[in-house]
Amino acid sequence: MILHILTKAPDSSAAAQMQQAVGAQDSVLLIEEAVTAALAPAWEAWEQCPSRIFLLLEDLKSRGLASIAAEHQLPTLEMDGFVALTEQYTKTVTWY
Amino acid sequence: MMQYGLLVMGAPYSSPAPHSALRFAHAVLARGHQLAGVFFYHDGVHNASSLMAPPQDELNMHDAWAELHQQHAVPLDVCIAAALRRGLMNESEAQRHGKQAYNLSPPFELTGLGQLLELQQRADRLITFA
Repeated sequence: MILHILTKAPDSSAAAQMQQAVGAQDSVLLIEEAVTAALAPAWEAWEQCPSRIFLLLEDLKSRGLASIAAEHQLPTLEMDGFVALTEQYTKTVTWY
Repeated sequence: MMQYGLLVMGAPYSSPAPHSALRFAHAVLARGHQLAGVFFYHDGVHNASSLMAPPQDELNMHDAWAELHQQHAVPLDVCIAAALRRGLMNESEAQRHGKQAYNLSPPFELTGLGQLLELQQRADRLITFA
């Protein structure tokens, strides 16, 4: 069980590498540029990891994407929730 | 309660990684965990520059890390090899290399990569911000 932290946009090589590495029990947290995935409903990872992808709310807010994420009912986390995720997963990998 | 270690590899004002790491650090402490240390590596060493002088309405990242140390005694370790290459050095290294100035001082400490391995072993979680 690994928590994958993606920091780059869905069309980045970091995202492509992460998608190859994500296992069935893993979760994904989108931070920084990666939250622009809220604008990419066709991104394969949404289907690859249903209900196991989270977006960092404050990074959505700073990019003006919070309402779009809410419209699409994407699961968001505050920084506190980010820490809570890392409590659950003994291993984390950051993709950048 | 768990021990957290942070690895910071992005430079302030060019990468969002230091901001993310700093906010994460405060959230870790707010949830009752301990921060075993922050290790600055690659471009992350620029966080340690005491000569950074951003506009007053912007966060001074050096000061923000120093404050974290003052309030919570979090060790701030900087990779010496990555730092010297990028012109980050303390007083003794400046003397050794014949430089006129230095820009790194406590609470930041120049250390080797061994310190990162030690942090990794000591911490229950090591989170990378890059």
